[in-house]
Amino acid sequence: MALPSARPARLGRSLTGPLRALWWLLQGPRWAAAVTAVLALLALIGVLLPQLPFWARGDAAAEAAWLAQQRQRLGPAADWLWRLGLLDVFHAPWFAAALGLLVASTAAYVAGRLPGIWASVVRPRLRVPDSYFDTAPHRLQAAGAVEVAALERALRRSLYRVARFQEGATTYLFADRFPWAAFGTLLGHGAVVLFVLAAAVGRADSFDTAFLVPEGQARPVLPTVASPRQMLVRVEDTIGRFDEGGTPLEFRSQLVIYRQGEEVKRCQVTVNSPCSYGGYRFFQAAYFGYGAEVQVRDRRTGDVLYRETLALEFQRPAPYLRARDATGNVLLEGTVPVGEPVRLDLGQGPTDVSLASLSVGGRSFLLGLWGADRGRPQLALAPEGGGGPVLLDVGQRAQAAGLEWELTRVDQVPAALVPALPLPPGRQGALLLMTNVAYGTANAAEGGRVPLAGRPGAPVLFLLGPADRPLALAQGESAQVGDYEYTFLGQREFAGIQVRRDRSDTLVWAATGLLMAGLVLALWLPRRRLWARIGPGGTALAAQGWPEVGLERELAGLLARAGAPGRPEGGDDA
Amino acid sequence: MGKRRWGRPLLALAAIALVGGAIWWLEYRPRGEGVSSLGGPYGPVELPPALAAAGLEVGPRTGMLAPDFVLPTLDGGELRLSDLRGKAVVVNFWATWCSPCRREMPLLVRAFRQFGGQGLVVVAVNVQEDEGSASRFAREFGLPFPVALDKTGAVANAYRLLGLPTTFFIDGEGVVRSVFRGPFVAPGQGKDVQEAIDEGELGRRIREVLP
Repeated sequence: MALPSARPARLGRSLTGPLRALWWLLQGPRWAAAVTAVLALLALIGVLLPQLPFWARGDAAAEAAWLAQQRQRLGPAADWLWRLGLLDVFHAPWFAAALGLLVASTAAYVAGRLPGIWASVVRPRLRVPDSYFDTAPHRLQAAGAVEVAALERALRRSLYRVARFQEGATTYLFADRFPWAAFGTLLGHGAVVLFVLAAAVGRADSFDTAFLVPEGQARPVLPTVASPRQMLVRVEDTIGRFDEGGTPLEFRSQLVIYRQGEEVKRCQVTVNSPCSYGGYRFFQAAYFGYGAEVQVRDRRTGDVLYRETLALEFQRPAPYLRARDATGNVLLEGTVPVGEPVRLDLGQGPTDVSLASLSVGGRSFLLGLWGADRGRPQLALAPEGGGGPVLLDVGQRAQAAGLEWELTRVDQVPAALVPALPLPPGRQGALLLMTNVAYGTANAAEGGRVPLAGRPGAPVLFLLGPADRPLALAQGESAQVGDYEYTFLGQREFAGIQVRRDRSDTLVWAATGLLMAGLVLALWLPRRRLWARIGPGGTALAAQGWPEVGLERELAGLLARAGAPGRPEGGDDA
Repeated sequence: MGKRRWGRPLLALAAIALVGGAIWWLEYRPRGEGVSSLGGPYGPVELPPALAAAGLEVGPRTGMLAPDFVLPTLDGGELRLSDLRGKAVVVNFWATWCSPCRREMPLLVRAFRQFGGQGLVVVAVNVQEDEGSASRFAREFGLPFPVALDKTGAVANAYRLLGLPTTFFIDGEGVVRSVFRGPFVAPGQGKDVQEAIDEGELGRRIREVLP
């Protein structure tokens, strides 16, 4: 027989009809176990089956492409698994519904048990009927009477609080140990609710964005213009360290965060050590070193017409040429930028040829480069105004217009098409190429140097488009074409900054704390309630507590320490 | 009895109010807005009654009276929009991080040079940036007109901006004649700045507001 709890669930009693039935269903341990089992099964399916990646979610085309991949892997099953939602388990509505049921069940359990547990802690049942000493699952009886004071001392030494009642020649004791530990299981259940709540908050409220910011510039964090919460992130400096093979060793950036026009934080970020402000965390997510700051000025007015830091995101082939005159003097050595490919018929069908012109030794030459994308670059070189073209493979030499030409290699150089670059009237299309690029840091001593093209030296920017021939500009140099003055202000680096906010962090920590506290209370500080009857007929003990294992042994130990004569008899399950 | 009954709920409410107030203070309080010569914070202000034309509403839409504001300027002074009444005003909202804003700014500079003699005033309102960034940009691009600093974004909100850049064309009566959302066509490749103004939207809209 179990002692009835002091306060059964009053809320359940006040409900009627279907609500009452639902209340008792949700509170039931079998229901909770069933929901937990379903969730565990779904989670297992979610782990074993491929799941829709985050980048494809919400994008119909990306979803279709991903599903087509899964059909190759799973066959026809892919389609019905998809229809059942088993390929996106954790975002399926029924998974959310199952989680909701678990939360409801747990909350109902906590709400139902809380009043009873509270009452049993603050107003414990001090007296039990005499019959309870004969029927309690955990009981012990000794033939002789023990000394009450000795039993009280033994109980207090075991950290029990003791109350004594006298009825004639019989003494009754009530002892309670770690009463507050009764809340341990409720804390554990509360932790489950918090964990699910944290997942919901994380899904509904999390914020994640990333952007590239050139050194010396800022970017807004939030998409809404003039939001009162808007922040700007300015990258003062970004550093990428590489080993000699070009493998990244470290990225880090100096950031300044502004809010409403005021500096609110200045910090250094790396990939693994973010900077936090206002609940947002700022990480360095990427580094890009091929940037060029370019300015165009109107020579007539002096006005700046264009000033941008451009990311040279693409790579274009560029021949590295050497030209010598008859005496062996080197007249040209370096990377020669070529333009965007145009489709020409070279007698072997249409071919994409990148064209360029250059002047060497007082003569002009036309160049055409093709085949670099197929790994077999070829260069045609022809003097303007006469003379047949010569063809060069990499490593070959040939004579043209009295000069010896050698195609040393074909480099890949960073490039960008810049439709917005102001050009003189009548000209269209601007291509930027940068050679002698220091990938890594140009402004930090520890920066590794991985020259992509050209000879050692400072970066050179080639502008194709403003004039017939490319403009070659070293850092800080300007060139004038018509009314425009083009200036290469220098190589710039970009920091890829990721900004995240996940307010569920706090909930997860709180839930973890609750779970740990609940486990500690329940397992290390188990609550024990003990009733004793000491009279001329003998001594009887009855106890309640969890875990129940060893409870009778504890009672026997207490009696022994109290000096009980003889061997005590145990309960039904002793 | 009554005191005991309400004591705990009131204490709980006070604690909630305290925590709420602390969150507001940390997250939403106006920062760095300073105090204008009117005695209040920089930002939107009431249009002086004498300048409020009868029958016209105040708002950021065509045909309405332009919302008034007071903002500090880069040169250390302050600018009140209603003080420019009688002049044609182009109010351009921009930021240094906004590439289209950077591209169109040279057009505004040239337009100001071209039409300034005819009474055109250009006000470039920088949205929510620090003074240093705005100042650097103004120096680099040689902006010849006042740059106002809307650090809190309150004026941008009063003008209900959806994005940057956005430009308001206001006539001498203070009435918004047109609103242009997005950048004016920059002097494209092979095209002169002057041609872009003469042929494009910017020049047409400026002429609409000129006296």
